[in-house]
Amino acid sequence: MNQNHAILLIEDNEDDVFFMRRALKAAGIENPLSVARDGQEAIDYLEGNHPFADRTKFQIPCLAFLDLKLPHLSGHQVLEWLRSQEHLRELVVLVLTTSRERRDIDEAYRKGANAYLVKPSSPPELLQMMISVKNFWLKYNNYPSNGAEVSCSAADIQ
Amino acid sequence: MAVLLTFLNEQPAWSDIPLILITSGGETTQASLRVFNAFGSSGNITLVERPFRAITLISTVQVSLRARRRQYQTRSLMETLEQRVTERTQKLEETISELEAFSYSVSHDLRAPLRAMQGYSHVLIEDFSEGMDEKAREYIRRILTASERLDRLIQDVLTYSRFTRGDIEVSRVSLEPLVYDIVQQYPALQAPRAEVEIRTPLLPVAGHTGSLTQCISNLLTNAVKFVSPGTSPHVSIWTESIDSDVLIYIHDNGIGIPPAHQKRIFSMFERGPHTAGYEGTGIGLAIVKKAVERMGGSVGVQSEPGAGSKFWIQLAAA
Repeated sequence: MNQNHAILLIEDNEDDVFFMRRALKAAGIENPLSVARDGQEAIDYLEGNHPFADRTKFQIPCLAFLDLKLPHLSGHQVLEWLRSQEHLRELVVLVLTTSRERRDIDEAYRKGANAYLVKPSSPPELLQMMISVKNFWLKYNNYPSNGAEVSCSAADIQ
Repeated sequence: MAVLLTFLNEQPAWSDIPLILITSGGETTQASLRVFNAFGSSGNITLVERPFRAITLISTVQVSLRARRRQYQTRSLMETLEQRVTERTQKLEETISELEAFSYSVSHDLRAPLRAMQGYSHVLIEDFSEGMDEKAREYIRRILTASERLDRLIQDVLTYSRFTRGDIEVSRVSLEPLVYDIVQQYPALQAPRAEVEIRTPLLPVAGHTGSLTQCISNLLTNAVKFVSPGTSPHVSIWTESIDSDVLIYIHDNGIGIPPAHQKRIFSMFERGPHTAGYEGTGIGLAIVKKAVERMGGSVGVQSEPGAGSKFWIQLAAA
């Protein structure tokens, strides 16, 4: 696993941020975790706008978890923006939301999500999910060389 | 005359223009006969032959004008009706989208604090239960159980509301793999916890895969759940063909349902008697009923207390 690159969590709910930090740690995912608290903040982070201009501190992530229900700009809008950006077009985005609504799932895939995960209700289930994410996305998955320019995967850095 | 005929044929539904045809008297002329035949019975035509008295013409004109006025009234009535239908439809659509927005916000906003309660209870147990008073641990477990129950309740209500709106497309569903998948998915339906006997072949039905999966998994999990303590659940599922329909039977060896309750248990929040000790929200069968009805079928139960229950779903054959 390449633990140097950041994972970006786009999530407005403080409790969910807490549970995610805890689950990622318990799953042994040691990549630095950056958090954007709403859609606009996510865009500012990814564009390197103030206050995220310092790329040594706020790296371009190799993987992003995206909540759909966000203040200001929705997750769908963030996704649409991401896919319209030359350097972010191929960033791996895992939607992580409470919505099981068909229209949300369909729209997320239409807009270019790489996976759609529904937030489990309990920390043990979230931990299981993050262990699966680690195995699939951080261990076995291969990342494109352009676009995000960084890889989360051990598979690429041999 | 051809132009006139075309014009008359192209009138809107409410309109039937009265025509008064004045012909010369005496023998019926070829001309008036032609006109009369041309308009046939479809034209609103009155023939007046010369010579006529003034009063005849006046009364004919009056009758025609009166008829025409009525037609105008019909037109305005139809327009008001149409407008009313448009308005009502718009209102209904607004209500539906409000309801959708409501259930959407239920799934997001109501569940968020609930998930936090469940989550922090877990964290407390996992990280701090050592050295914690046994009573305190018990209270945390109760918070956890209650919040899990509320979560299930909300999810069941949402599932139910999903089946009350939106169109379900009915197509051929192969029942056999669907049932095997369900049994695979629930450990409660497998040995040693239960014995589910699938009497193959199961006939295909006209249904909707997602809805049918929901229905049959609800019925199967109910079947293994409501057994008296100490009884090992045994459930059979089979199909029978009746006319152009297929009946799906699910027969259990559970506690049974008294006749007086057999209809009621399909309503929201209704549970059978003597079920207080069993986990559940009282929505499962309401979901089954709604989903089956949306597939154009029906559902029911034959049962006697202590003798198990036999639930059936009737759907069109495929």
